[in-house]
Amino acid sequence: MDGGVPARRPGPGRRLRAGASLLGVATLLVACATPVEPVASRPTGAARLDGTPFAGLSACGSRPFVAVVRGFTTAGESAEGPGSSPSSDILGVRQDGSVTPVTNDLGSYAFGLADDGATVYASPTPDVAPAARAAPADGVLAIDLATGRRTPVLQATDVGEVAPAPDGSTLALTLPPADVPPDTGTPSPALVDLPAAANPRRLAPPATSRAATVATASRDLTWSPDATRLAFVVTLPDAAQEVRVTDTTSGATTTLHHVDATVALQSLDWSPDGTALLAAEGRAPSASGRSRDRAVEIDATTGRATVVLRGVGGDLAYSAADGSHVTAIDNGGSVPVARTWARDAGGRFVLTASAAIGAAADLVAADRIDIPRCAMR
Amino acid sequence: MNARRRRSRHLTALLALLALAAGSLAVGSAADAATVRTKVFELNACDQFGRDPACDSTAAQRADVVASSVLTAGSDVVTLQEVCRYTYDRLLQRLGTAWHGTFFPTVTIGDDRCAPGARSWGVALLVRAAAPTNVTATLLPNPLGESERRYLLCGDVVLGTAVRVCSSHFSVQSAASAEQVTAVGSRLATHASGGGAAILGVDANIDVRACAAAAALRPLYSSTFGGTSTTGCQTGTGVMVEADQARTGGDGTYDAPTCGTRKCDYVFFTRNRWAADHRGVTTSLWVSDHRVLRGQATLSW
Repeated sequence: MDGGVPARRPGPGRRLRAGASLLGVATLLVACATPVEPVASRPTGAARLDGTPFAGLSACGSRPFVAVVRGFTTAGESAEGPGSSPSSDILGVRQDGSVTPVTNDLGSYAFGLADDGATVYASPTPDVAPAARAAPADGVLAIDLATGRRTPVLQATDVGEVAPAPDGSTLALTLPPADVPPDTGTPSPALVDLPAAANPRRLAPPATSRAATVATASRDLTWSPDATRLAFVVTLPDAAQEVRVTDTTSGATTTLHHVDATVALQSLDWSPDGTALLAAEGRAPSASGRSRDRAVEIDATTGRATVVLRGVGGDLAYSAADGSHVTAIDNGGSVPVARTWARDAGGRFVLTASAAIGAAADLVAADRIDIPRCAMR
Repeated sequence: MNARRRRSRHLTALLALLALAAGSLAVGSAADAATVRTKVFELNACDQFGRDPACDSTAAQRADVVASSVLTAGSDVVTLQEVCRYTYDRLLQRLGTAWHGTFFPTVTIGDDRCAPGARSWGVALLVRAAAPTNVTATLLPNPLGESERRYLLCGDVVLGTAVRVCSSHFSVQSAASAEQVTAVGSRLATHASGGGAAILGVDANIDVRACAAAAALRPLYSSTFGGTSTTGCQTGTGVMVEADQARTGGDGTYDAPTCGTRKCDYVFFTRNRWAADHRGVTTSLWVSDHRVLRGQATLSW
């Protein structure tokens, strides 16, 4: 107390009227305030939305890249392959998001990146229509990402998909039947041990009654981290699609996930801990144009599918060692945009990073993102 | 006059009246031509699942979406390019038994974009009418020796009257597409010289909105066309009118883009068989990087 005249306290009546006035003002302010959207939950420690979608990855020792993608340029769009397909190249992606061509011959490769980040196994698409080829012109190359050196790995007719096992000891491929003319018959998964001294061996047909339906096509090969299982997408005669998993030791194949003809399974990636598969489901947009694409995590044991991301399709890949991040390339705009999402407390993914990619390389689109395990933190 | 005579005179009068009416009708039919509004749905379907991120939907999804769009628009002719045989078959099934068509595989592809269908991919035409007859697939010039050949697929149908419907997809390289335009324009001109009515739905890979490039389309167009203004910058030497071509009394929007900022896709009608009331409207479909071009005009006979 400083010795000044003490303030007089208002009487009860005045306190009540003042309180009511304050309450009224407060009510008025609340009523007039702009509604505040609930803040999307962010995982603890997750960065705010930033422009470095690959910053969470780290280079694998002296390897140059943290990921590779299939890239389409303006030149590739003009250099169409048979069936008017735009031509593409393999591009390496650095931690800062910059890209560098791994191939620059518009070879439209099917490829898979080894888990040590050192080698891309790639099969080019012939630029001549199959019927016009004098002889089968196909095979698999090993491309050293540091030196660019190409080494033939095996020669096979009409190789489709290529996926090296995590330990680099085996290649998974899709190949047509051996006893039919080129580009006829149904391609199916096959394995070849490296170095490819023996012919590829076909995977056994599926065991369950539903999986007994013969597939008309197989793609999106992905290995479990322990290299004991191979998952892939098949298309059935009624245009439905399934995720199937083959035990590469026993040869037993089971169906894990089934979607009808209204859905396109656009990508498949095994979780780093081997317990789930991440699949992108492409669907028709709503009448108002809203994307109905979604990403699901499929439990590798039970087959239970959980929606973890809505409004996102295309090629999704895990980008963290604990499965807490996923990354994809969005081609919906005028330039490709890389995006990374982090898992929140509820298990769903929220966007944390977004940046255009490949402007310096004249990229108009990119997909087939492949991130080696060694780059994941 | 007795009753019998009155009935006889009434009957005579009635017969005379009937004869007069019949005669009037006969004179009226000769003077009034029959007409039908022809509605064409032209689309580069971009059947490229797994090959092009811009068109990453399956053949089945594509067929179902196109079918829905065709039925909603009330189209009676569909011309498609970059379409799987499977997509065509599924589309036909979805459209219903009133629809028939023909498909031609322009190239054997080496991938499974058409799954669950076989690796058959090309151009097609479908009509809400009986099956096309006199179906031809004419090989077009290939001056650059491209491995993928280009064809003009045509068939005769009856849409009120006899019409020849054609679908084609020209080369990307301008040196090739220019020769293909000339070849197709010549065939259409020959057909028109015999009084025929023809429709051409085509992905020409030539942008009429660019004046210089539009010159290559002269063998198809029959009058002033090209550029982005209504006055046009080229003069055609052909016999066709394009649905979205500028005209007096039109909807005010012409040569709308169908592939990005360019117009690649066209619906042509034989000028002297369809009225000068043509109209073209473009809409987007999520399954293709090309917009649908709906062209319509009134055919008379």
